[in-house]
Amino acid sequence: MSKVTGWLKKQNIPGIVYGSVLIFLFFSIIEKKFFTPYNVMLIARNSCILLTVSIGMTMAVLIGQVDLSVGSVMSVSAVMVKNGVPLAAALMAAFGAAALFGLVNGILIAVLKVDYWITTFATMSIGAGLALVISDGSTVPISSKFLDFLGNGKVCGVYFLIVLTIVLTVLILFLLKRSKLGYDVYSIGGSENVARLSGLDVNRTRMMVYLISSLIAALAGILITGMTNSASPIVGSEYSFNALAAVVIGGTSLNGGKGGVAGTVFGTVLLRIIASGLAMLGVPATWQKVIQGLIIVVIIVADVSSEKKKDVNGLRRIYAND
Amino acid sequence: MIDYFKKNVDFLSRITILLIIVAGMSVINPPAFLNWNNLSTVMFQQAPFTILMSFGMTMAIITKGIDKSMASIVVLASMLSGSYFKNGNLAMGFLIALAVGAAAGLLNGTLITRVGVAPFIATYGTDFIALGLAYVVCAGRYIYDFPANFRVITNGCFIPSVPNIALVTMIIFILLWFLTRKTIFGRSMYLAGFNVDATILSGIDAKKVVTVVYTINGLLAALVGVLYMARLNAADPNISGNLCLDSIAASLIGGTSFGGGKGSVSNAVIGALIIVFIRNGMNIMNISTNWQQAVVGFVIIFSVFYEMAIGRLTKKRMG
Repeated sequence: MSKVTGWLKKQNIPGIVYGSVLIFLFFSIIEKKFFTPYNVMLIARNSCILLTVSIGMTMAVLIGQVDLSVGSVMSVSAVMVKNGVPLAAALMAAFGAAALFGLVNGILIAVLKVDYWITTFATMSIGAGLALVISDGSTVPISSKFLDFLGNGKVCGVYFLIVLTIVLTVLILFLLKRSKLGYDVYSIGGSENVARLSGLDVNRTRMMVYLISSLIAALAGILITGMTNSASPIVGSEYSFNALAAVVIGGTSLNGGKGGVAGTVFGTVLLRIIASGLAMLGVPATWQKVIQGLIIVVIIVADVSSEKKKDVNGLRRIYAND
Repeated sequence: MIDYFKKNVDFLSRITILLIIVAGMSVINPPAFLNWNNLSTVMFQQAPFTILMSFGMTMAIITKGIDKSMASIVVLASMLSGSYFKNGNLAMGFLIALAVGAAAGLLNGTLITRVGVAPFIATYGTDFIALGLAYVVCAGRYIYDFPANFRVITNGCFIPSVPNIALVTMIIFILLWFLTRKTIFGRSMYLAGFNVDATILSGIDAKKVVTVVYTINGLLAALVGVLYMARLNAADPNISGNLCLDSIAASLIGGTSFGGGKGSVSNAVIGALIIVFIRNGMNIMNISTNWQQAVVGFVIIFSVFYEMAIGRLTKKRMG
């Protein structure tokens, strides 16, 4: 037994993993229908869109900032898909618009040094507004075989959406852990000044992060269009906050430089397990939102105060050596 | 006189923006814009709510924070106090609304100052929970048709031809102006926004000051909730709509800097009027309401650039 716990400790697994497993077990015990292949598949599938957005958000949080505009970029790219327009053109428009949002965020934040909260909040409202303008405020049904396959198709009994999300996750995981961009992201998040003094191009990395985060959000918007077979201008409105929550719950510190995509995967799944479990227990939809909000706030508070405690302990160690 | 202009170039330029917008509307469509009916509706019926919200937002931004939760506190306070007002129990209704506002504001303040959560995230969380609770309380049943003695709070005219809502806004403005400009608390608030470490080192309890600011915001939001309910004659969780976005845009375009320590409640009034007139102008020009949210977003970006330009200009003068 001690061997097992020792091995677990060595792996440096974030506490969130244990949390997800515990809550999963909790729901499995009190609700028989919870731990069935069907429901597990459903949870995995429902996590995909949020996970996709959260991966982009993870990169923004890793450099010590936040990208609130992802939800609106989702909405904008979703409404680019229209029935009369050829799919290829629509997809190009969607990713083009997303790239524009990413560039605007990046230029304002990295080059012009505007506060990142207010920049991404402004682009969030602009995006939400533009999505309404483009779609004329209405949700339209979309009939596209390709998009339907992306959202609802199955490969060997597994949803293609899940496969796609896993591929994307692994890709970004490698990008962050094995590429120069990834190293730069972590070092900028750790200390911007040190990164700059060691000759990293901080501005360029920041802009890349916001660009990637926007493009991934556009992908999420297109996937959700395929999943629901409809293009809605308000589809992404709740994703900004939920993605931020998933990232923070996944152990990526808001101070930047610590955490990563692996934690975000569990953060997302945890949010979806809670949603699924509450729905199965017959909790009314309005209460579900409140309970989720409370859980998110409690976890964020715990994260911030544990970081603070670590800082204080760190100081103590320095002074003790004097 | 010239000294006065030099000192207040920022504030005066914001008034100029407002005047340009008003003049523009007057030129584009005089019959629809320049009539007493439209102007009085905008000034006395719509603007007061935006102005009251912007007071709170401005104070939060002065302390280098932000209060995203105010719009949801408006909703929660009105949903919880609605039934008391409906039954004619005005005192109880006010008490509950203000208690809700104070509690939510205190929660924000505690999360931000004692726990150390970033203001945006702390208030975003409160926003999420407050709105969620409002829907739970509502449970699909809207409260409407309030007694006349309650609706008088907003619509009546204590002073002839000036609606009470405008009067209330005026009183709150004077109170807050005095509080922020003429008291030790106000000084500490600006100082805390300008440099929180220096504030704490000079012996001021900055944490307490910031907590009080967020509590005042909660109370303001609760007041707006009650007034809004009296104006709409209904308590409905969907009313929060534009309040948050508008008040942030109003504070920034009014000249309150996101860097903290700069701005005032009079800036908030100017900013709120700018936003309200932009919205009114778009309505008059028959621009689809879908555009309005995007335009207000652009106003935020514009004001950030404007802030930079003005900052550079005044710095040159000083140097």
